[in-house]
Amino acid sequence: MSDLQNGESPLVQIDFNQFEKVKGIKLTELKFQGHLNLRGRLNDKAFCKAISDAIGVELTSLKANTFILSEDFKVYWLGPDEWLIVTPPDQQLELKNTLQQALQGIFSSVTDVSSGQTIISISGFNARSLIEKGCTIDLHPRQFKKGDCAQTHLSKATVLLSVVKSSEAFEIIIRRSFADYLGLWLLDSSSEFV
Amino acid sequence: MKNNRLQGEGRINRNRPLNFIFNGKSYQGFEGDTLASALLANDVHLVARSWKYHRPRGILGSGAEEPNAIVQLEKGRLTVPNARATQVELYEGLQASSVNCWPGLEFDFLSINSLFSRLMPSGFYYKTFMWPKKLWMSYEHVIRKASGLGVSPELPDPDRYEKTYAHCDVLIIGAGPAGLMAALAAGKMSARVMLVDEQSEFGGSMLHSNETINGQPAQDWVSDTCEELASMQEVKLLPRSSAFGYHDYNFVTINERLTDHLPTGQKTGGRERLWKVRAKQVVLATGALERPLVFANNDRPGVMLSSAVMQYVNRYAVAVGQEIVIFTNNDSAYETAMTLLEAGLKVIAIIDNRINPGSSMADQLRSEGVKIIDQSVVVDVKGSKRINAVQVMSLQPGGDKVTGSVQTIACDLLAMSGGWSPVIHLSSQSGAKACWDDEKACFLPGVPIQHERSAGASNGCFDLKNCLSEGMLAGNEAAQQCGFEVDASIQLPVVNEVIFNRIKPLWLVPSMFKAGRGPKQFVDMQNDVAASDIMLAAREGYHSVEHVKRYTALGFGTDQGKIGNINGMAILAQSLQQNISETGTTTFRPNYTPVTIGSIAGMNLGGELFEPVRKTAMHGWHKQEGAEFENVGQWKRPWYYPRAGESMLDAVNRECLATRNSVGIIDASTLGKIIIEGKDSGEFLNRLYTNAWKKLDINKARYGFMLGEDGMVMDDGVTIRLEENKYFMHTTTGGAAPVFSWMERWLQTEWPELEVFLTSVTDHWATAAVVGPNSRKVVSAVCEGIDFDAQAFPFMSSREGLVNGIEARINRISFSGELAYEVNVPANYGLQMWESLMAAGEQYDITPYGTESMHVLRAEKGYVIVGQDTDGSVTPVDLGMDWVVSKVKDFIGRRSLYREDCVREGRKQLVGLLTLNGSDVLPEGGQIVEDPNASIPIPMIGHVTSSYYSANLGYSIAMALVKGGLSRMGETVHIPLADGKVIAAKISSSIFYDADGEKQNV
Amino acid sequence: MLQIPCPWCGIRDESEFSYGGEAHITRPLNSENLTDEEWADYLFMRKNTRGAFLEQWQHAQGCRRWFNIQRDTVSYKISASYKVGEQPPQGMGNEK
Repeated sequence: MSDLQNGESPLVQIDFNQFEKVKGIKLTELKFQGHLNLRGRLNDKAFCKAISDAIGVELTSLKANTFILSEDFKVYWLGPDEWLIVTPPDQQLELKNTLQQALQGIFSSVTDVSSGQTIISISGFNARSLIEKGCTIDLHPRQFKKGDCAQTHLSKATVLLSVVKSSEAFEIIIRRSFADYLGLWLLDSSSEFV
Repeated sequence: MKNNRLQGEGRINRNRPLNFIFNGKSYQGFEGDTLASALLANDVHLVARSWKYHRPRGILGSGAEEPNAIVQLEKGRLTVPNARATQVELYEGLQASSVNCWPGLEFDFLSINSLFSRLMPSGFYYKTFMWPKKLWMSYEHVIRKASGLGVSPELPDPDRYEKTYAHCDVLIIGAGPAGLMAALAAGKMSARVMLVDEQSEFGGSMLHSNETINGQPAQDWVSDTCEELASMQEVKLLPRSSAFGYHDYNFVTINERLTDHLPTGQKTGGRERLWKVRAKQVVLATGALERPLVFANNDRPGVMLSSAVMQYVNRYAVAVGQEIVIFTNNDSAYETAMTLLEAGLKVIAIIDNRINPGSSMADQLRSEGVKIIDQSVVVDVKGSKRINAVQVMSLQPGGDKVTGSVQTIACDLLAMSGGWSPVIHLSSQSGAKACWDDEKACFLPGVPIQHERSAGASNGCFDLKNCLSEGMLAGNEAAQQCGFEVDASIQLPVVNEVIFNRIKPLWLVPSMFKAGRGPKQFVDMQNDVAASDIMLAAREGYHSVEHVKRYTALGFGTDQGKIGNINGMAILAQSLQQNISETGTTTFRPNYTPVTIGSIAGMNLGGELFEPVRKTAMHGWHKQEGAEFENVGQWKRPWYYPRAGESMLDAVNRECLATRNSVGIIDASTLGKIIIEGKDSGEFLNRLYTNAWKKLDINKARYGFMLGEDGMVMDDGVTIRLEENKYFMHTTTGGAAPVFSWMERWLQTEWPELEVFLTSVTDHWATAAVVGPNSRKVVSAVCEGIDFDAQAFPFMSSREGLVNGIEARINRISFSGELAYEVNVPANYGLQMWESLMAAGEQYDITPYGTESMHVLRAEKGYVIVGQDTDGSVTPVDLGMDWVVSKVKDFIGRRSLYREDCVREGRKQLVGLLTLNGSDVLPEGGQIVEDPNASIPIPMIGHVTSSYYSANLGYSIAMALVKGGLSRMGETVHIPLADGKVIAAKISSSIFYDADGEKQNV
Repeated sequence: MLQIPCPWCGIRDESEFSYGGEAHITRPLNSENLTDEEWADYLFMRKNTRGAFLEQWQHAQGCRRWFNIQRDTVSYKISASYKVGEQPPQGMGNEK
């Protein structure tokens, strides 16, 4: 198992204390979560059963552009044959092994991308306004509700945006190499709420 | 100083006087004033010089349409060119000056142009200055000084500009009677509403009208309605916001001015915000603009639009004149006359081109002693910097000629109304084709193409009662289209009905002169286009309205024809003996009013956020070590690591020598990395790459070329077989995203039967390449669980192990020809791995090196870089790399390699170049010729693609694409430089170092 | 800016997509037997339709799926969006 003490988040250069003076926005990083990318075919019953057995999620009933919580795991729809499983820190390798065992001989792919991305949580009454500065998606609670997610771009970075609480709490999954850029963008964009 | 302020209330705050400076003189206005109203209150009518003739000009209008009162605001970094004084809200300490005058407004040297105006017809510049061609540049210099408007700031803009996306059900543009009513209706239906208006206050015409709503002044209804709207949760109100562009798919761009109305010291935060709005439905309630009348000297200060006069009196409590004459062809000016009388000002006469224009107001005015002179027109005005009289003549029956004697009426202000033009700009931008209405004598919005509708004056409805009912209907309809139900409780306010008499169009006022003679009758004041210019254009054969626009400049400038276009088109139609719908209108394009570049560029302008900067896990370390960085795609990569006192060449030489003689280390994390998994992965690679993959052993690596279907090299890299059905592909740094997308495209669209999944892991792995004869010692000290014996872990193979207890993958591959290992760990542990390698390498003086040394080292070995030594027109055969191209299987681009053009003689081929003088380093991109003394143009036979000084070799090396290069070995060619010098070089093999490849196999 | 209906994700802004050109061009299987002219026809020749046009797009910053739409090249109106492998709406096809 990895030693998180020596790991470094992609947002290591961003001073999160600076967000403390921003009104109506709480911004934190959910560091070192496990991220597993899952590929497989929904019309393959064996594949769906293996996943259901392993993590208790029926992929066939997970709608496009939504995510679901199953015990400690969050499963996001990424595409018709692609999902993202987020696990608590240090559980990804175990889950990866479990899945790979269960999926032996089944056309699928389980890939650890935990170091390749991180999660930024943005909440507060100005959270939506902040994200709207760089996001073309309609974030109004009538349109983008708790449990919804969308792959889109925030300013010029590709993100996976999800709603934890309608209009008030969001999570953004960002690729490692773009994280610093996005962190700086969020800092800059939130200056009007200081 | 004369004070023109009236007793009436207006909407100014007399408790808040504001000091400002115009053309160096101090004045005072009040909160609520615009710069224009404050100037008029101080009796300043002369505010500008015109663009071409430098004629004195006064304030004509009261809003976005203003063509004359264009000012330069503030100085230095904060200066704003071409602000319309009618739209500038007054603030304490405001400084403004006139544009277009030199040396000053009162005495303008170039007003001499006016005397020669007869010699400066439309197309004057084209006709006069285009020959001889050589001199155009110097003519242009003089013309620019003589014409043009304000001055661009020369210093960087210190302001911040915000941007935001927004969505709504109903976007309502314009908060006059129709817009407010539409917002109220849609808002009550719970629709998400945005209501925007360019002014600081909502209300539009109701802010200065005398009308009543529900028995109360219209202003009261406005404030009640605004209050109600503000209390609705889903209604967003945006004052000081101009919707300036209506684009495809109901995408509307809005510029909100956040701080322009504040004194310089009180501005905080962003200056403007660009709203990028997607609306399900749009209601255009943009109102109408009054047209001027076209008669001689109609541009003199003291000639104003009738509606502007009313607005200055009622809204700003400013007497713009004391003895006023009104000239009109429709009823609306009669309201102005009533307003003036109520304000205690003297209306001497109303000149009306219609026969007996009897309305209830006309009777009332007559009873108050106002003389109504019907069937007559103003043919000229007297006075230069301010009018002092108008000249009136009667119309002959039929109305197209004047008759009788000239009657001179003394006055200090002429209020004119040529009728109203609905503001159809946004409707037209949305794609609707404007249509001419003869009855109303104006263009009306065309049949909607997008989800929009017009209401109120912008729809040709010019009375309050109907504006309100059209607004309500539009609001209801728009929200219904979004799925909301009409709120039955909403009621139309009660408004008195007014009966209007029909307008009698008067496009060009007849005069005693022949057409095109006599004093200028201005059509477009901002561009100094007179009626005679349009007639001349028609005579010279310009029949399309778009051509006439460009020939005469009609409709250019900051006002974009808001004042002049309709009159101009009508005059053109008359000249061409067409009707107006045949002549048509020019296309309305964004922007409705000028928008700052800052607003469009936004907050990311020029800074580090303009474009994403991608960083590796070791970026901070590189920075700390003083690396200079190079942009590679969006990535920042260390370029070289200069030590104190070192030049770039010094550093690169040191890095290259250290790497070949001991050990170097480079951050290779930016290379694209893709997991390819599934039982058909080998087959897929076979189709993707030029060489064969199915027989590659597990944990073995192979170099591959990817071609476009046209046979040209697209990307290259090393791919490793991890498992029976799983491969790990490397792409070039810049190729990562396009190659991934390219692979997905083939899988999804052409070969869905292949069982292959792709997953990008570029960001997951951090990679350090440890390179050089001592690399094995360094890597083996850090990596656990791997036998680094040369035989056990041979070149082009891959092993899994641990680094600091973290899973790691070590690939023994080389891009330098040296013994080399690429160490990969999950990027969260990348820095730790890097530091461990540095520590283990200390005893070998391990040297970090950047992309420049990497380029030199690979060039010494003749390894190509796709995108540098190739340019999309180069096949693997051209590179002399046929060995990587399979003869037995199909792959993308294969058929193209046998196209006639790809097999012809004389294609450019990759070769090495050695300068005869080894210290000469060729410039990359240098053109290669056989005989530098041949007559110009010298035939070029190729170009230099890569060129470096090689410290390891002690002389310079280069790679080049040369026609038939592979059969020219040993020939001498020449590279002429820009400075006239010519460098001679010998064509050689492109492998300059360790030709047998022994160093990487130790 | 267009709004493009992704068959998987619904309507999204154009900025999330990348353009792939004319749809329904099939790669010849027997390229060895094609003349240069026939191969060049597959490789280079594309329609330049005025009006309804079937074209490929990728939801590049979304679900990464390639799909087809029918778009009017004059009005920019998109009248159909369908998955790869599906047939265009009845009666629709790029002119030969």
